[in-house]
Amino acid sequence: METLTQYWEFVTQKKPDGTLLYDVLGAFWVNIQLTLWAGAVAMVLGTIILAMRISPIVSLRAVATFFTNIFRDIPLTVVMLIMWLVIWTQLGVSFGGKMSTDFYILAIIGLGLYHASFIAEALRSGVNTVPLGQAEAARAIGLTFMQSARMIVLPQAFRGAIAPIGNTIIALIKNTTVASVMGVATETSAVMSGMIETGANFVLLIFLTFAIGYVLIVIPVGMFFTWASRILAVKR
Amino acid sequence: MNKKIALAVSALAAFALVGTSACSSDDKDPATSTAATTATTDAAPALKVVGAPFTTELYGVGLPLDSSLCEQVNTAIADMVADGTWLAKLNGQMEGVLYTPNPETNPPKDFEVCDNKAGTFTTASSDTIKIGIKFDQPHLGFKEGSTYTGFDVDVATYVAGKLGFTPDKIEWVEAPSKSRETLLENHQVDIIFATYSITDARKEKVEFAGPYFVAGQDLLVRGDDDRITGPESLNESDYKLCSVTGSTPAQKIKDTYAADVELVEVTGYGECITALIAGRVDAVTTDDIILAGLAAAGVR
Repeated sequence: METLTQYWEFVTQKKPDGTLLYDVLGAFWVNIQLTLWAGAVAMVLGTIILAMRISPIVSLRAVATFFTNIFRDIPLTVVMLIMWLVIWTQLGVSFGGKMSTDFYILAIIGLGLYHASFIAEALRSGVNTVPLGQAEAARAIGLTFMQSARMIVLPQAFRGAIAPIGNTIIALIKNTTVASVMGVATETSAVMSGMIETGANFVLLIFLTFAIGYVLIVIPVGMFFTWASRILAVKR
Repeated sequence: MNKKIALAVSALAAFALVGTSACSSDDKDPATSTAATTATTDAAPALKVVGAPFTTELYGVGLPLDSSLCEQVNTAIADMVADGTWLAKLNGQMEGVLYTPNPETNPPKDFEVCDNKAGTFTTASSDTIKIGIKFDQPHLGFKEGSTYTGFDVDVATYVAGKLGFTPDKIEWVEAPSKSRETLLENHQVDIIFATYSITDARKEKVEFAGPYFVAGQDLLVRGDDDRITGPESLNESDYKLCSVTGSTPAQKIKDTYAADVELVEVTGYGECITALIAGRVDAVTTDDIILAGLAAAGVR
């Protein structure tokens, strides 16, 4: 009990300017924001990649397959390291303003590209749940490829792909900690490193704090996707 | 544009080099090693450690709380200093770098008082010793293929020898900053030499012998940069500073020294060095001996 009190004092200690030295809740909020932004990028990009993947044009299919295989097969840390070493360090890409903004945006792009390949594959599994007859019927009533994709195939595919998309999103939540490779120093894994550096006597409690934090975030998300996949699944 | 892409590709290669080119130098005879120095300094700008260290970090030898080795380790380190091996090994590692360790504190004379007289634990296995080191700090603790080099490794080998373990009885284990305490508490390693600063918080979890080196926070800049001379000069312009995420130096520089400086935090010093050479940051900060090791890796 005494240890817990001391740990509470350690976690809540303030800097001279009155702000928290280790902003644990703020760090989780950074990861949630990264998840939302990168998730949005991945959903949009993943849908485009999927549309290319199922399109009748061979070159588009080839490009989509290439993208998926490249980004799915490179470890995320390496993707982020490339963003840091090549895009930021050597090509000198900058979005103006502060450097931390650059890092934030590049981290979102890196996370988005990587997870777009998984979203595209999740959606492709959704497309496979749509019976062939649906696409054939759409073509038979004269819909173009874009029309049948937009109105017939994709809506059913999304509903069939909710569970795998949920898995990807849960993976993304935890993967946002890799943003520290891209210089995002306010997210959880960076804050945790700082806490262990000075608070080595609380090392297990520190690990536990962040583990519990992620469990608390991931469980509701998992429950939501399980519920949604049951409610929204196309009954056949 | 093509040039830029070529540069970017070579950046990845250069990043790998910061690590890999670092350590084979001990085996070279002096003639080839000088030749190598001139060749690489032409290609990449050399790096230099500036000013005097502005903090004091005692690098201790980490031991489990129930260890009985503390006094023996202290004696071994004192022997190493007395017979000149300490200085010879340090100079050998930092050859070719403009760097002198703080002469007032080095070699260390005042050793930790070994509190735990009743310790019974020596090593988990009776015929080998598991030593925790860093694997990614050139000229300190560095793994290259199956060989291990650096000043931490040199001191560890010497101390292990005094404890009765020949070099072939040493098992090297990676001890990253985050898991050093856990490794010792669970007896996954017997002893740690991994730029491990002695602090009160850590003393609650582990026992420290040593120090075997007294380091201090310093700055590493490009060789042709004369603007930055110390931590205060960082406030004079909008300099960008790089350090490793969550490390004490990164926290200290923000709180105490240059409040206005823009701090870049990444997960490894290799990333910082690449950004420094590319001109994206103006200085790298951490303990002086780590910086000197990085600079030495760039020179050779």
